[in-house]
Amino acid sequence: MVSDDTVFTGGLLTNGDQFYSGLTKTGFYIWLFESTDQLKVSASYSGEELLETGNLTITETSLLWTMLLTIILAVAAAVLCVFIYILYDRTYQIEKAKKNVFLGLSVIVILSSIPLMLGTSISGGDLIYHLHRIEGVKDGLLSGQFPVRLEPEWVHGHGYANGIFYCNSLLFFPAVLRLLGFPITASFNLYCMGLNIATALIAYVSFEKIFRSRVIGLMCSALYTLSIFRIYKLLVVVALGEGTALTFLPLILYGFYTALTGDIKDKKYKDTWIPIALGFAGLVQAHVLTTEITAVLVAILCVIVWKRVFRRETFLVLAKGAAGAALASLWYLVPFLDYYIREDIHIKYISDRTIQERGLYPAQLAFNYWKFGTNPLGGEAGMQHSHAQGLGLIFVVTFCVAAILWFSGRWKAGKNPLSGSECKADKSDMEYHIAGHPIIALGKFGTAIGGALMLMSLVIFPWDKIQAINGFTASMVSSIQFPNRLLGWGTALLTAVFGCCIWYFKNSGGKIDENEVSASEDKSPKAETGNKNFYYAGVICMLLAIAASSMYYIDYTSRDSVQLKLYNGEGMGFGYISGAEYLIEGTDEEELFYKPPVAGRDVVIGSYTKKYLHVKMECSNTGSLDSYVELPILYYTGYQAVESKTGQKLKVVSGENNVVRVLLPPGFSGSVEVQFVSPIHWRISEIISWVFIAGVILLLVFKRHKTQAAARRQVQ
Amino acid sequence: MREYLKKYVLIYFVEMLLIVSAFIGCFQKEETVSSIKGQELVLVTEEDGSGYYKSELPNLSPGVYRIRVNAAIPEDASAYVGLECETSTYNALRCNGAAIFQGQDFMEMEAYVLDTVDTGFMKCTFDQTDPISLTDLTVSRTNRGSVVFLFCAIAGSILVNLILWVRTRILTGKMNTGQQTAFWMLLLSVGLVYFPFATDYFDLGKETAFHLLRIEGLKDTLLQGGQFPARMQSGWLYGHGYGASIFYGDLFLLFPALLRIIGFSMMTAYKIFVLAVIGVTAVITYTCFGKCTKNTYSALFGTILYLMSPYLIYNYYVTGEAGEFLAMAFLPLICLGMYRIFTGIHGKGFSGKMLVIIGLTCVMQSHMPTFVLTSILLTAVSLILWKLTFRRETFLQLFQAAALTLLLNCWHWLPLLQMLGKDRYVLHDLAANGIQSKGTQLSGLLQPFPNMGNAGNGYVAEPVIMGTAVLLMFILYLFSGSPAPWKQSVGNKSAAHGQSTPENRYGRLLLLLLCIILPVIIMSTRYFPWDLLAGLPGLGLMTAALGSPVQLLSLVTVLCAMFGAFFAMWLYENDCHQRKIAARGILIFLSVTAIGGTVYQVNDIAYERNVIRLYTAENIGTTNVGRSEFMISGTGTDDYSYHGPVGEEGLEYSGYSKNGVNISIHVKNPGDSELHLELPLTGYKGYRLEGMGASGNLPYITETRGAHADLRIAVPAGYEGTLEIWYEGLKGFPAAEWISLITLAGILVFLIYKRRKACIS
Repeated sequence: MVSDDTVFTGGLLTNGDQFYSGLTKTGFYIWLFESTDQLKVSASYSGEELLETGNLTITETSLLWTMLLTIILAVAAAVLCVFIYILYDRTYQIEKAKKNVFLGLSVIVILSSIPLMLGTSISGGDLIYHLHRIEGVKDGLLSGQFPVRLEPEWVHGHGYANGIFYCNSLLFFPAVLRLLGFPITASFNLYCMGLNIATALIAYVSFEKIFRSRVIGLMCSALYTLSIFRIYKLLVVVALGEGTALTFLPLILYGFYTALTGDIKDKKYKDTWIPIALGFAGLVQAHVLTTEITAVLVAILCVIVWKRVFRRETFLVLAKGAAGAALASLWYLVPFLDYYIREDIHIKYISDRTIQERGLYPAQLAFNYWKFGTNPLGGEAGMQHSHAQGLGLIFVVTFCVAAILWFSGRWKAGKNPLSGSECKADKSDMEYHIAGHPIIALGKFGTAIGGALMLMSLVIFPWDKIQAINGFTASMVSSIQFPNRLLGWGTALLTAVFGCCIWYFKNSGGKIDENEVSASEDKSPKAETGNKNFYYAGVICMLLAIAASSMYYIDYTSRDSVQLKLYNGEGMGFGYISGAEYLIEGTDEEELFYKPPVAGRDVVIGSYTKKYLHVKMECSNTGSLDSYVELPILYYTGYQAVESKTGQKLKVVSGENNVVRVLLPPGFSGSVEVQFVSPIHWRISEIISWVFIAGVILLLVFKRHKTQAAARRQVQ
Repeated sequence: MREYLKKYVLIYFVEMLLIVSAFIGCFQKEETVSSIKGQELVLVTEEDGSGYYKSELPNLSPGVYRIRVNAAIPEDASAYVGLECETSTYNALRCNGAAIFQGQDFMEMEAYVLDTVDTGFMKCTFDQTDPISLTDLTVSRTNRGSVVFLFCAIAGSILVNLILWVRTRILTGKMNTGQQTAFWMLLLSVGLVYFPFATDYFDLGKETAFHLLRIEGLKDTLLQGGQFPARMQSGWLYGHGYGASIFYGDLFLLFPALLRIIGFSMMTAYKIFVLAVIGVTAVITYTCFGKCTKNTYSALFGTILYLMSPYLIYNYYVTGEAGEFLAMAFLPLICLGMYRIFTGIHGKGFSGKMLVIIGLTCVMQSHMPTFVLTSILLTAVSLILWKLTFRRETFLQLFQAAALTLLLNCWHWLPLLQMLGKDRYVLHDLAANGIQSKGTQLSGLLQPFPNMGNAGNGYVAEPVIMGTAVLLMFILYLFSGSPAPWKQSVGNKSAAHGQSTPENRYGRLLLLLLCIILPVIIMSTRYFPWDLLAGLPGLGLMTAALGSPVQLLSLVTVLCAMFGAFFAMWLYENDCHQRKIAARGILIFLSVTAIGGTVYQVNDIAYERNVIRLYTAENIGTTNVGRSEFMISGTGTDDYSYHGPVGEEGLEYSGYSKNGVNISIHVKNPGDSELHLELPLTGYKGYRLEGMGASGNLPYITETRGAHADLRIAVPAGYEGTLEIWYEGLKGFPAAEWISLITLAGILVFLIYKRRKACIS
């Protein structure tokens, strides 16, 4: 542990490190912002004999300067953006509405990031696991892996295949920040802020394009970004994968909405595969479970609107979207499926974990004033001091309002939405037009599926019965872990339903001119009569929901939660692997500790060095039979052992407790290098993905260029 | 109609199918699943060294099971019996288990199985005794599950049909936008207020256990037969009985008692009861205020203020005062009745007089203190409005209302007063304690966010308040400026031309209501000299019965809600379009404030409350007698235990059997002096004894009671015979019942006659 009482508060940042038995050396980073000659290094020892210390070296790195340089560059970029904005505004006069949107989105991002500005992280149940993932990516990059497949320092230096099963592409951002010298908490918080920005932006763009209204887009973005479920998952439980996945849900919603309701004769229609592909690619690379839930929902949607799905143009768009997502994620999917099929991974055996008792009560769904809570699982403890696992009152009220509108015939084409009485089914009738509008169809779908998801998240939903049907259902249900996971899509769909209700109240009694409505301009019809009161009530409810629910929750969370300050990754150890899902089945986690290599019969190990997952050793088998060396590295398919001089490949198999075992033939003597080498088909998949992503980027740039050129020609 | 039926034929078919299948199931006979002796139980030792006795059960299919334990528990010992399982789907087996004590020959309890359980077992633990003390342990499957299913199928069908009916009315344009808004708002409001119970558990408020025992007692009394109306409930105080049905109005508790008889668990029956009360409160309030104001939105506003008042919600969940919240459901009826009597405005439905009679009757049958307070308040209002009161027609109506209410409820209040006059109860002792300190503090009254409360005083106190919306409404009313924008109304445009300005029609009514509300609020605080009043002759017992000045808030709440309904009318009462918009804005703002406050309150309650899953009624014990007001003076709940008859030395007795409060025992006094026998019955006045096969002097119930006020019987020297003891009540009871019956019949005949006359005319 390093300390110094003389430097200013915050002048020395460090958590120290644990020096485990089995290690001969360790090292960690400290951040020192002031010169000092009073630095103290202390060690506390809990062993029985005396602790003999060796050399202690403190070396100044360049990381402080790289970190400062990054900050300066970021600030400079921000200032530059502001100047460009001012200049652009003066020259071209940016629309007031656009400025308001920018302001609104900024407020949303700031409000959602309040808990991230404490300089600490909320000690959620999954925080350490995800910090390990970030550290794993950093260490993986340092060890020379790209993309990072095996986190080398995890499981006490044994290397863990987390990166293969749990995609870490989005964690490269915080990992790079770590490489640039940022402390781990800061990197994590900056990543979460990035997610908040991305969520607010994606939600705004998606909903604005669906409803063709900036105001509704902004309202939906605020509701979604600041939704209780999202705050809870991302900032309180720190379910980083699930929280990241939520960023892409509005994009998928928008993609499908456009594909299914857009004009197939329109030239732009062909591009609707892009949001689907981007959304799904993001989703797959963020959280597989959310992808599975999404896939099921998409299947239901396709069954409901099968006629539209099987139109040639629509089918093509959807197929392109799916193929695009698969290609962009191929670099991850191939290793994932490869290992999932080939390896005997522990996650395949988790099917007896029941989830129904973790379901919610109806009261929990509609809870408004959430506090931090100390009861994450419910069950016997009910909802006393419960974690914020519900949707929030605003979404339940939205569901009720939409259900009432639907129930009372206001959303039925051919009915007068105001009186509910039959109108003359004249397609020129504005009320008929509203009721038959695709947005109303979205509202109905959102209400039905959102309601079903809410139901499925409840404790009364018979998950236990479903689980008992057969092995497949047992595995599927067990993998969900928490029924409230379904509320991610519940939140997204009910946000859309909220938008639909607001859109309906705004437009009922008004005139819609489809030709006048464009995605870039807010030209929603002005209501002449009708439900303006409800429209304003909706706006007030949204603001109240954010103020009295989301902000209330953020306040309580920031105040009552246990906060962690972690600077160097070593401070949190290297042992925690959550449910050990990605260990080979049968591996004893407790036995995976820092150890020297174990020599088999008649084997003599000379020199031995291990850097990350790369081992170099001199060894010889003096016996007349095959023998082995077992290394403190977890065995996954792909490790190779090569005799350095001759290039002779030695067989690598799974050893005791599933560690890497290098087989040495009788009489073997030489220098052996052991390291993980990605199979060739993995490499091919990576190349395909990179080429595809580059192609999409080029395509987008080309299209934008073409659009701008066409616009310029039009002006001329 | 035919088209309507045709449209939903599939739904009707499914409904019928469910009802018929449930109905058939009701004829299933009770079958024994397992029957074993205590010594057949197997000892299981757990890892921590503790142990329990176990008996494996065969597969348990879904249904309601009855567990009967016959036992002979030695002195100072007890056994605990429960039905548990190794594994099951979530919460499939619902049983709390219960203890069986010395003196208890048998114990019966229910277990609810919602899904097939194949690892069920009886779990028994013993304190100071062993398995041999359990002579027989029987588990049988009853047909109650099918009855519950039938009830749910019928209730569900009614609900679905109601929804379909509403939908048809909406689609055919028979419900206007206002009515639709009111319907949905009421539905959502009921859902919101019920929020803390939207779980699979509940929590016992301060008084909930007492009311649960009342329900259970009523159920047992009905099942045992003999007493109607129920007077003495047998299960209380370790089987000694408690006069709950004499001292508290039980009429509306028949509903949850019926649910218990059908087969619902204790908790579910209570939760359905609370939901029904909330629903009834919403409907009555909306209807009454609607009839008062003849305006949908004003009525809705008043209903929101009432239904979502912190005090009412506090009563539902924190105190669990079933009597008081039940009484509060009917207070709007009295408001409407009085409004009609004093204004002389008659609309559709019952007359003002009838409404007051119905309202007061319901309040009395729910909660006597609220009835007394309401009566006092009505008297005070009548005196304040003496000019109106002493108009011949009004006076007649008020007099008739009062007289008929008393006659109609004679069967309840006369026995109560008789019993109070004939004996001394703990209530008489409580009169000396004073209630002033239990009043609320000013800071509590002004508390903006009603939380669950922690029984403290001041700001952290329980939410014995009217609510922020009401406070804001008063502030808006009082500070609406002078000249008030709404002081003048219709024709205010003409005021500019120097013409006289008509006064707002609702101004005086609001002022009157405010003048009534403010003193009542003051009386509900600890600043009002209640203890001084209690010292005055005759008032001590009344203040003790009141329990706490806070109970006045039930009246404050309904008056505030009525004020709110008319406040809305007061705001609307003008010609100016902008003012109407402003009025609408104010009402929406106040409604949102009320709803927001309620959301906060129910959230806090749901978040803070303990988790209790009560399925087995036997699990709650028998001694939760509230404040023990009507226990015999000088006794306490700790004095009681299960025991048999206790006779003086020399007295021989045999053939003892007890069914509820009916006892049969054969006694023989071979000695030459009178000997006494104490029976495990609380010695209330009204027990009747009949000696069978008597010879010589007859036994009689003595004036002096036995230990912990047990019923004491004097057996004359040389007497031998069988004694039958049962509760009959005092002599005035049957007369009071007849008076009530005749009055009820008279009222019904009068109403039918009036209705026919109206039809003919």
